[in-house]
Amino acid sequence: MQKTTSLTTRRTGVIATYVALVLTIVLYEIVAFSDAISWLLIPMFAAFAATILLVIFVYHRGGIWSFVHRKFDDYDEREAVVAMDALRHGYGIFAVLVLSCLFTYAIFEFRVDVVHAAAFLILAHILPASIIAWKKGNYSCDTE
Amino acid sequence: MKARRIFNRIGILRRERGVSRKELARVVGVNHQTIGYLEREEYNPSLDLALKISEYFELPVEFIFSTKPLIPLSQELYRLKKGE
Repeated sequence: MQKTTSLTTRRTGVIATYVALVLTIVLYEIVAFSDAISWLLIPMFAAFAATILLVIFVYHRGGIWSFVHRKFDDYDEREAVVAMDALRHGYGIFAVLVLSCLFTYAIFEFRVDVVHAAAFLILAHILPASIIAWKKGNYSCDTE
Repeated sequence: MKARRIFNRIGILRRERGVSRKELARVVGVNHQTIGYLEREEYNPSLDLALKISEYFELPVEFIFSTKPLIPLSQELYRLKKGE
């Protein structure tokens, strides 16, 4: 069964995923720094749940997740180039983003905790798939 | 260095012989979406893949692929007939 989505839907999904992820972190920071704003816990968990659901619907059900996580031998020549490009760009973007964040944290003496580390791990995992989702093309998990 | 665009007749040959993209993809060992990319000339095949496709259609590789725009087969056929 071929699972394909339109380019506009994929791009909207990518933007929504990152907005939900950033919102989760921002709300977490507000809740962590201010004990009086405990009512923000519900929106924070909602944003986190939205992030997970978007990852599932945009990347897993769109077939892009399995495309990026296939064994190298399972790619044909074109798919191998696409996957390698996505991983290469993802690696570069991830390194720049994380280093920028860590540098900013160091300057402003922010603390880095488990939630930030988890966000970076989620980012590392979805970044190559995001690059593929963003680009024009039809990427299904149909390997037949 | 940007690769040149490679024109091809895969689409028309496939339709002429009633072969689906999936069937052609299965025979030459690629995903059927790659056949689509080839037909739209959005991807240049490797030498191995080009030769596999030419072997499948039993036609010379230079008949199927070209770095210059290919003239329609009907026009080529008419020219050959006129030349007889």
